[in-house]
Amino acid sequence: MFDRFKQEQFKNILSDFDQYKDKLEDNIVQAIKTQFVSVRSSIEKFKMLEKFNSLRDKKVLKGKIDDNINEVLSSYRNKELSNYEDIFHKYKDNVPVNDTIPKYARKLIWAFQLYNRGYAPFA
Amino acid sequence: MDAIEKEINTKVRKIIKNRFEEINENQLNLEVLMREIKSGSEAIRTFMDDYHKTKKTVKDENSEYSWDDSQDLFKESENSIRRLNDIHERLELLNQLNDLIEKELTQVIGNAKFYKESRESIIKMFKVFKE
Repeated sequence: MFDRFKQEQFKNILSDFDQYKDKLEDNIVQAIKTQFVSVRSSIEKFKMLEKFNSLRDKKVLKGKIDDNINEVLSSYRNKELSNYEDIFHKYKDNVPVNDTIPKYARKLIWAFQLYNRGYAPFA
Repeated sequence: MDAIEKEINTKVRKIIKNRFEEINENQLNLEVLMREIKSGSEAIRTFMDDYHKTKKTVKDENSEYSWDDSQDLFKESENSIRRLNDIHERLELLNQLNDLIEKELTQVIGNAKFYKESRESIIKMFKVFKE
């Protein structure tokens, strides 16, 4: 390990280590991705992201889990948020809330509930 | 001077090699080993720095007592420091990966096969330095 005249052997030791490390990191990234796919709700996904947040400061996995963050955000924006937008435009004039409540109060309650559902992952 | 240098290097290398042997692969507590590596590297560095400082002082104060170094002086020390730093850097990564698997990921990923394979990889990475 320390023989000055065996530079090549020491380089090989480091190279073997680095190869194992890269493979392990890939396996971890894959396991994290699989876990993200198995979780369906955005709230759970954001909770997972929070748990993985500490990994971003570490030397290992540097930059390798950023894709997950972007995927979760883009999936939230493209699927869930646009779904809430569609619901809003579809029902805003005739909100599906108990009609014993005055019209404008009804609309406000409904809009607020919709907003809360959309905001929940960040709460 | 070469003999002192050789003795310091031999001593540091021996301590590190023994520490490697003492580590239980199933628990993999690397903290002590990493501390020893850092201290070993610093000890060699201190010896080199102090030697240069002493030589400079002697030369400045009275040039007739100055001396020439052998060509190989500090080649072993520089080699030891470089390798110890490389090993320390790798062990730091290994420690982080080990912690990540043992502590942080267990709360999130429920896959026994993943843990078994990851543990095996961690041990392989450690053994690279022992073999």
